[in-house]
Amino acid sequence: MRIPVRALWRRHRPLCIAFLITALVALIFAARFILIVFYWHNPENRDVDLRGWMTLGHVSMVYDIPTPDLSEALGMLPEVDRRLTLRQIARLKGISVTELENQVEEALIAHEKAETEPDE
Amino acid sequence: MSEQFLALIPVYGTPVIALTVFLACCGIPLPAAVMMLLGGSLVATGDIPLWALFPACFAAACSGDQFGYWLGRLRGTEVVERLANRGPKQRRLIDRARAFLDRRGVIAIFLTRWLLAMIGPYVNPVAGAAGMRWKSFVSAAVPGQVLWVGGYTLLGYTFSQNIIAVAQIAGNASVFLAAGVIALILGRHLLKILLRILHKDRPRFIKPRSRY
Repeated sequence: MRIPVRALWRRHRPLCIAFLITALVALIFAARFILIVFYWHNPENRDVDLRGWMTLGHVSMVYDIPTPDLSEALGMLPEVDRRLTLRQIARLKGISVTELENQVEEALIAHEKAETEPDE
Repeated sequence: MSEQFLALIPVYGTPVIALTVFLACCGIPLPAAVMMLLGGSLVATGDIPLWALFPACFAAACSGDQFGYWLGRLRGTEVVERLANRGPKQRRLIDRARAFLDRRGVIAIFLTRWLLAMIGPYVNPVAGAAGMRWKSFVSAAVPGQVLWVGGYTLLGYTFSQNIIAVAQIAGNASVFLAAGVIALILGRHLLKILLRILHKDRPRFIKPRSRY
């Protein structure tokens, strides 16, 4: 038995086109969904990059460092507003966001060292 | 997802998130889900109080729904009537849409709030224009928005360590769901037509093709 695809296409073209497009979009996003789940499932990709929109509080939570320690390490008062974003801090200090990111990374490494070495 | 846009959130907090949610529910394509995820993560870090975030977003989402519904009801009813008066085919189409809204309207509105949130804003004016009762609309839209707003803020709160991952996963999943459901509905419709052609009982209103 032949399936009258051509008749369907001729008589209901808009419907067929709409079906094909939505099915294609669904497939593409299903594939993207699977790829992204695998990407984040990989422990190598777990570490989050520092971003300009992140606040001091967010960074200190993600990297498990008390906010006052972090702000002190960045050369600011410990009681500085934790809602400042990295971009704002960079602007206040008159440096670029990348430079500030390097400073934050150094601070994190220093903090980690202090954590692992037992206090005398 | 623009970085500039996200940078506004920690500075202006809840009002920016709520405004984005409202505009998104009115049909302006803004990343409301990502904003709510970020808001939830800011609750986790203690930068935004939850008692401010959730009610503000919830109110914004419901107002956005109401805006769409009343836009359709006040401006769209005329358009629908004009379309219905154009011919019997159009009239039948609109009657079928109305019957569908009567039977399944509540569940459709409910599901397009959270599970199929991508198409929610565009369903609102249609529901209003097609004459869905306001009470049914509200009774479906409000619980749906509780799930949508609550779901995303809770996701952001729980996975505040890595909201970028959650945003990407949820974003792709929601597009897949919306497109998938529309494709299924269209596919079912096509299948019905196909079966009708196969069984040769074509409806009479289709004209036989003229020979040249």
